[in-house]
Amino acid sequence: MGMRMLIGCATKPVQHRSGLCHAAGRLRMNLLSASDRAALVDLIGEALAAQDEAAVAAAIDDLRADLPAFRHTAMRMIAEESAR
Amino acid sequence: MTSTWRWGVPEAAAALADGTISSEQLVTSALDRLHDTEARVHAWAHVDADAALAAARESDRRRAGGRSRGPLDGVPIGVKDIIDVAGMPTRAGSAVFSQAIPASRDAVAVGRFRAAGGVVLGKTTTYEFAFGQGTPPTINPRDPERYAGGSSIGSGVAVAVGQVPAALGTDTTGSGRNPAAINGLVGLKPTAGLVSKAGTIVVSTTMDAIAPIATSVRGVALLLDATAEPQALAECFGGSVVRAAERSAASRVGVDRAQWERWGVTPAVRTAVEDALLVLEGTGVEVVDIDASELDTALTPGLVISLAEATELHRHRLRAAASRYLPETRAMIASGALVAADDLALALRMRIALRQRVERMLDVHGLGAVVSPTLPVGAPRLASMTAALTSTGDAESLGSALRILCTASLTGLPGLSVACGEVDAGPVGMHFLGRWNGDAELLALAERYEQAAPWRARVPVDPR
Repeated sequence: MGMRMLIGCATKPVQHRSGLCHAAGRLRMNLLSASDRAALVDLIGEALAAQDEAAVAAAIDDLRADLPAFRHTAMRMIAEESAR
Repeated sequence: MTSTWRWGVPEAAAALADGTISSEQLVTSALDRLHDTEARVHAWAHVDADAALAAARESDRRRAGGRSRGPLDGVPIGVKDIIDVAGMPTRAGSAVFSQAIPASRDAVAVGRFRAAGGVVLGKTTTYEFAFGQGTPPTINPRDPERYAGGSSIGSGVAVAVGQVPAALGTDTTGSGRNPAAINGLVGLKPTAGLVSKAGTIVVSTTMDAIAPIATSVRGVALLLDATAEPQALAECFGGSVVRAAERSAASRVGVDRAQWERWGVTPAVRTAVEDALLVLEGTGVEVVDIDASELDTALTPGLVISLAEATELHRHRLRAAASRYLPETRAMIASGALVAADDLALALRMRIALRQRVERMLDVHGLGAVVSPTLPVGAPRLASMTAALTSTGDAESLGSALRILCTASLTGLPGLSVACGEVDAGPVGMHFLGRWNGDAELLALAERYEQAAPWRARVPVDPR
């Protein structure tokens, strides 16, 4: 279970010992796809996108790692509830 | 009369009603306490003492003239600094709004509170835009080396040290219940829609809720009554959540202890909650074992929805002022732009299905609530909070809190945390998850525990 960056609304503390900093370092080579990067540039501009790319990549990678299980569970639940 | 800052909402309301104290005296005592403690806790972003005292005097004039507006007339609170209060700036903990001019009108919930005669002392601190990134200066009053909660951190700490008897926070995925638990308080995320969010800089349009925080269950209930939408109160609670709680017949709760194991609940926290369940049983509440494993499924759809909605809410602001956001906050919001529309649509549909399943689980077992620890651990040491924060099974991890608290956030069902003990790392909360518009049942169950418990949270606490 990842989500190291995505927990702020509930818990996130601290003095820049955040997952962001760690994740950004760990995943510096794991950058965004061209389409993802275009969406980021559209949102915050080229300069900040370059600055934030590693951190955003770490965050979305964390979330996407959990998406296959989520999709399976969601479709099962929705189908079961629809059938009731 | 100088120690009235120790009073909770019910005590303050009773003293105002019987004339033991005036609102001006009550607010003056709160301001004195704030003056004495604020340098050690930094819970406030903005305080307007003159406006609060003027409102208190107006309350006293109403009461003297037989025109009291109800139990909260003259009672002071704090308001999280993402919720508009007319005459005060809403800075949302962000440099983006560092030069914000005072809001021209109250958020709806604040307006309802003030219409009930309540006094707003000021705005309490939060993480930037309530995202939990960056570092507000607020300090845990019990132990400055430990986490003080997020993102309604200022609301929790201000109440914990007695600067105000109650406060309004907000709760996206636990950020109202979490600081309540950490600080030995009661916090409620009401049923979605019961309290209007209009006038609030939300994280998520569909998951955020205005969250009352107080030193007692009754304090939270009174604040909910004063801020809730009148039509919802009338149609779902006979006009008052407080009175509906008094009539509540809820007498059975479910627990899934295997789930606590999966959440990494520490032995000390588990013991505190087990002891609290024994107290609850002693009041006649039946505690039954259930399989609540589906509650574990809420986190990912909750994050998909909240991130995607956050991006849309901040899109125009980011394009205008992205460089003024903290990089951490900006990156988190930006990641929501990369959430696929298909996943968002699926998450929105799953929300409905999961709500149906939770409510059916409650119905099948005849439960008023599912009970669990609010957080798997006490307040972690700040030095230990690292990138491993969300690793499940980590004893120092708060990450499992998301799994515990996110079901209520995703489904819109109510969730309540009540203080139920204290471990080395600070207070422990017991969490109640209820049915749609089951807020009164949760308040009733929690109050039964609170009144029977041999233990009392140390609140207000003197900051170290």
